[in-house]
Amino acid sequence: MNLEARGNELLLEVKGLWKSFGPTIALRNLSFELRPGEVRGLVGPNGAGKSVFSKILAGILQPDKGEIFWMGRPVRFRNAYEARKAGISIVEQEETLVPDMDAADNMYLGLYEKSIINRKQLQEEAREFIYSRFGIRIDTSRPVKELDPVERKIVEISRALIGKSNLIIFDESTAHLSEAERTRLYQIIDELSKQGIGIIFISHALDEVLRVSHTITVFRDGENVGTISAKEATIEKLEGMMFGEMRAYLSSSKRPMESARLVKEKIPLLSVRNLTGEKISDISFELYKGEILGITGLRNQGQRELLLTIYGALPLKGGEIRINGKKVTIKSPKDAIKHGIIYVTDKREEEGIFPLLPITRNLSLGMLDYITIHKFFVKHSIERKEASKLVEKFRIKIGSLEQPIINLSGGNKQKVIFARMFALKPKVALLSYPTMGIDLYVRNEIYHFLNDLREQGLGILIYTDDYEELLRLCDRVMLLHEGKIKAIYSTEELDLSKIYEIVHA
Amino acid sequence: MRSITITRGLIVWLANLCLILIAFFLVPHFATFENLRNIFIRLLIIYLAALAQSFALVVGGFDLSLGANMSLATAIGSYILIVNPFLGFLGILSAGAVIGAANGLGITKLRLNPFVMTFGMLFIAQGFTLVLRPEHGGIIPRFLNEMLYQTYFGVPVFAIACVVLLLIASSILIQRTKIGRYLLAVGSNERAARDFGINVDRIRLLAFILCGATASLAGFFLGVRAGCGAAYIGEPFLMYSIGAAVAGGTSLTGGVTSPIGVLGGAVLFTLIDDILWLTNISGYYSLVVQGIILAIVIGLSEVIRR
Repeated sequence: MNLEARGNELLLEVKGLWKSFGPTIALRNLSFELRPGEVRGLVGPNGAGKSVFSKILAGILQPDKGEIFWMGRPVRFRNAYEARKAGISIVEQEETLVPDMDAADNMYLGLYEKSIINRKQLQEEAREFIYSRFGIRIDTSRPVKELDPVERKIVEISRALIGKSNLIIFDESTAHLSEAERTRLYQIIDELSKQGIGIIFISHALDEVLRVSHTITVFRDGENVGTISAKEATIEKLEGMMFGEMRAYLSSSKRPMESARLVKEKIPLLSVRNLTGEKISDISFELYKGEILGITGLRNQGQRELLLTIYGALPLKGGEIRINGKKVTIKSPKDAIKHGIIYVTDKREEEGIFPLLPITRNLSLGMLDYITIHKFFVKHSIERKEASKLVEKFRIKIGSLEQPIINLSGGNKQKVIFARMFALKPKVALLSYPTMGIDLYVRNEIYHFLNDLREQGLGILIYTDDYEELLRLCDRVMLLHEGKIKAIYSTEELDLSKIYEIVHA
Repeated sequence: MRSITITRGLIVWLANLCLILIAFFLVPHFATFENLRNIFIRLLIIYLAALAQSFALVVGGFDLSLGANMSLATAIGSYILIVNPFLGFLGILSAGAVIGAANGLGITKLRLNPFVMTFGMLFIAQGFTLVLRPEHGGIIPRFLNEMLYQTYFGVPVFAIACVVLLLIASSILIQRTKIGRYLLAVGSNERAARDFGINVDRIRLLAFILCGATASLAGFFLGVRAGCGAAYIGEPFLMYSIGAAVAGGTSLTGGVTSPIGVLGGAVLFTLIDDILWLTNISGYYSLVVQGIILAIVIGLSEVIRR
């Protein structure tokens, strides 16, 4: 089929796409169009639905509702293989290589033309392919896990380029690349576009999107806010579309939680000095009594590792931690809890709950010392009473106290974890994405709860990349980059676009 | 979870009821006092083995050395019980606890897979047993045997009392103690338990020590029943222990168990064993039948779990 002959026909047309994960709606009634040879930038705040959308196009996820027309025909891809055969390739944000296979196998996986593979020849082809596109030589005979992150990303990009695709999606593909390789990628995209291949280019770096794209679409909360041509777009304008009324709402003088802020006298509660550990190095900061300190930055810059190192779940390689000025030794979560530090994970299902245990027992683990005789025998009646109290206090919606926790919704699971951890009466709380995947109502309840704790003088560290949350809750925001503190800002001096800019600068 | 374990406990007890009714009318010599006594003595041993296995299973582990551990208990007992029955009994339990501790340390400190660690331990324990008792022999005092077989109006009171005590003790341990909560928590979600400040390694070690000691207690009664030490006498109990624990609602992936269910599972395998023996099916065929039943029981439990 000759693409030029199709003139202005659409390469891709999406109508009324819906996708939800449990109670969280990722895409709502989303429509989208793309012409052959068009390079479309796709931008939006975290959680806007960009990655979900691209995964649906690539057959990795299936939509709940909606129509997709591919080169004029309605399609429904059941898996990535079908999408790829139809001519849609994707470079996903997360790495999807098979770590123990070499680069050649990773690139040609599923594309082998013969059933008997000549490995030497394949490796040679892969090496040549990468060299001709990126001008670098990669040892394609080694398992990819031995390559460095840049090389691995290039292998992933090459894998998408190698087949006969008519649409290639790049989801945050440039984050690991250096300037030289980025420029090569821009040239490649340009060439592909001239051949009539459609491109969807997702990136947080707005200047990059402006440079690469012909047109730019903005997503917000799973909706398509609009598309503008790159010529008339500016960073300012895109940010306006991305944050919309929310920006006006937050930058108006009355921030909902502002009245509660009370870090007037700065009494250090948790002091971290030159902390070094897995993925983090030389981190020093103070967390004051009654303060909520946000931690953010690009993904995987050591934010979670910082929390886990303070909590003793990851080994501390250097530096010290003080609580109320006293140096403490924390070698395990047990030690941390003894010193009044708790941690709430964002991986609720995998790390937070005891899935098959009833709600009572999930709750009562936090108070076994109060509900046991001689700290050994559990009193069932007291256990039930205390558990009901917590259920009431946190307004956890349950059928019965004895039902397994696994059947609760995400928000209620999070409340159970909160109830269990805060029953330990901590001084310092370390929270990782405390409201991820939680609906607005419960989210507000959690915000109020955290504010109450702040007023009681707790210190709270929150890792999240939800900028609205950072602005609503935090007194200060710490920016981590490659395991080091890049800067600490007071939220007074920040607004949504400012945060966005400093994170993605 | 209460609903889950109750249903699973009910199902195995329903199966037991059916089996008893069928056997009562169809199997000759089933409904006799002599057989009742045999059943309860066999039940006590299988129940102990199942309890032992459930301790390993509940923390997400597994014990393949359980049968060899029981054989070793009979071999040791055949030397020392005659010297001093009380100290001999403690000696047997200690040996079992040591095997369990070795398993536990290998799994927690050396980070060996439970399958690999206890598979290795199977041969170590079996080797020691063969060193001690290459052929069956030795003496286990007669009075212990008489105690085990003690009946009152045809009812084997000692064995029944032991079973009831074990049921109460295991229920309290699992449901009403801090340690029981920790065992379930570690098996349910190791990472969450660790983040919650539970010393996961210590709890798993404890579970394996309990497993080893309970298995050697099963071996003690097995030796008392046989009256001597024998190198391979414990072998079939590995299968019984897994089958009974899983049939009784213990999850193969950890975190879930039901004390009353484990007893039900033990009754099920005791009945099967007893019926096959009464109907004179050749020992080899009986193994085939038991293997098939084991596969069905575990398969069904997994289906119910989902």
